[in-house]
Amino acid sequence: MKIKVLFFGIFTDIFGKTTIELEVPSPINVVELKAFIIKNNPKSTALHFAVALGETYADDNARIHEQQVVALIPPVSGG
Amino acid sequence: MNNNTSIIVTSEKLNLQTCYDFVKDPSCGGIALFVGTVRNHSYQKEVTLLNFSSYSSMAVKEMTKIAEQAIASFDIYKIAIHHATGDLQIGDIPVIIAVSSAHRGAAFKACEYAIDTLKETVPIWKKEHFIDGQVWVNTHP
Repeated sequence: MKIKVLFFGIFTDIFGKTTIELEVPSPINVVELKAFIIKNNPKSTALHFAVALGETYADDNARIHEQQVVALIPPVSGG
Repeated sequence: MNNNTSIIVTSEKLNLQTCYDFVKDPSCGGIALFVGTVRNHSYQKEVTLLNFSSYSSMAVKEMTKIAEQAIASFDIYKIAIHHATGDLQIGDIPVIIAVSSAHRGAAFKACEYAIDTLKETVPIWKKEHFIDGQVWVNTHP
């Protein structure tokens, strides 16, 4: 199934864009999606990130749905 | 949105007076202010500017949670949390937190809680620019 992925911070440099449509296995939950993204990482750098669904931090076992907008949140540094 | 909270993420210059005016009230005996400022060095290197980017809609939600939790946890009256995005020069203000309360202790505690939590949870990212390059700051985790 297809999902929309949003990139922020250092991820915009690593992935070279701010958003992509991504084909992922279905069904998939947050922890599985994280593993999928790490496996398909275009760079060799380690990736550390949280996942947000509906603009809220998601639990590892939250299910991701077709066409859902998924934000990858690298370590934040506001303030 | 709670009437006692003011949450803003903006590419405009932040205004200290706006935050102060929002929280001040005759019932309050004190106002605590935290003002973040852009520092001219990082790890012994000279910083030329900082760029702040955000997931703005989620940042507003997370900042709102912080403000509401501060009101629930401390005996405060009002709280403003404003954050700037874009390029900021040395001395510019990326963040302001203003808290009013009847007694000063609650305002100090809530102010510290708010900035500490903001730095841990709010999806805003800072890129430090030096004379010879740039680096994303990864503070948390």
